[in-house]
Amino acid sequence: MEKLSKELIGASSTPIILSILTKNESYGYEIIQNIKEITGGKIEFGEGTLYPVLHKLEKKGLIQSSWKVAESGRKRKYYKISNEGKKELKIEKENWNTINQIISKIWKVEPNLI
Amino acid sequence: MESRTEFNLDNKIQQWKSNLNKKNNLTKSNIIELESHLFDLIDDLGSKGLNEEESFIIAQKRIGKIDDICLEFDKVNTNFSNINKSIPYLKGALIYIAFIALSKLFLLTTLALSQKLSINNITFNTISIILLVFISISFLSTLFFNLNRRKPFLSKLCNINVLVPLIIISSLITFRLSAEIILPGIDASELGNFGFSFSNFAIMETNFAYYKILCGFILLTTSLIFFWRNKKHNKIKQTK
Repeated sequence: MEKLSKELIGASSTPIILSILTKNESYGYEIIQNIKEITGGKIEFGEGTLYPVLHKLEKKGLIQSSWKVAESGRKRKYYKISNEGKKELKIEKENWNTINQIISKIWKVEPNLI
Repeated sequence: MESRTEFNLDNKIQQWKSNLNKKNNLTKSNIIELESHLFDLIDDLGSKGLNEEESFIIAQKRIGKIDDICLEFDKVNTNFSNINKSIPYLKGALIYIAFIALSKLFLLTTLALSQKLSINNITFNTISIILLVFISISFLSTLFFNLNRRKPFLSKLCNINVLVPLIIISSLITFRLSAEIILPGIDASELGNFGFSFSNFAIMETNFAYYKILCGFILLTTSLIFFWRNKKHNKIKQTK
């Protein structure tokens, strides 16, 4: 099973992270594990990649963060989606569906392109 | 049987954290977050049956090379990173200002004392040179002593929290002293001992001028050596 390209993972990182945070607030390690589990290992975020993306989304106001103390007694930063983030996710869903429809249509009309 | 030193997880994590702390592009919050992530990875690997050492090594590898992490974080921490990069220059400027402020304070204190004790020109010249040499040697000895004991004396002294109050306090004392000392060009008609004061002032300024030139020369040479050593070090890094 081939892994997806870096560019595609980069482009889809915002909707993926926002979708995961829609369910519950979460922290870096858990987000990475969730993504790995949901995508069956096709998408694996590196730690060096995930945190800068999370911070970028936070700067844009799409997610909010707060420090909490975990069961282990250690500090942990939790992220949750904001109202702005929910709106953005809706737009992202529409955009990705549109892209999906366009590509499917092209391949249906011109099956020899696949 | 193979003998080996006992693995200490806390020490290893502290070491890893101190390497992150050295970087310009990671905030404290970033480091705590990455540390928490490392702990989660270690716990997870530990629950799968790996020992602390194995868990740490694998977790560290999974997080990736510190330089690679920093490159990614630099994209979102641009402002913080730029400020951090400019701090050494700011410190350099503050050290220079502090040096000038302390020099002026020293000059005026010595002049005030010479006036009160009515010291003649030749003795004053000798005393001013001895004082300059004594202060320089004391400073260098303190520096050497602290370096030998691995105490961060210089970095503490070069801290902005120390430099700024030092500049302000010495400037205020200098300002207060300059109002009391009879200097050439000030109320010349009222100065009974103008000649004496002017000579002392000139002697002190001349000695200081030589001293400043010497210090400037040492600082420039040291900076050049550091610059070339750093450049050489970077070149080795690139060829790896």
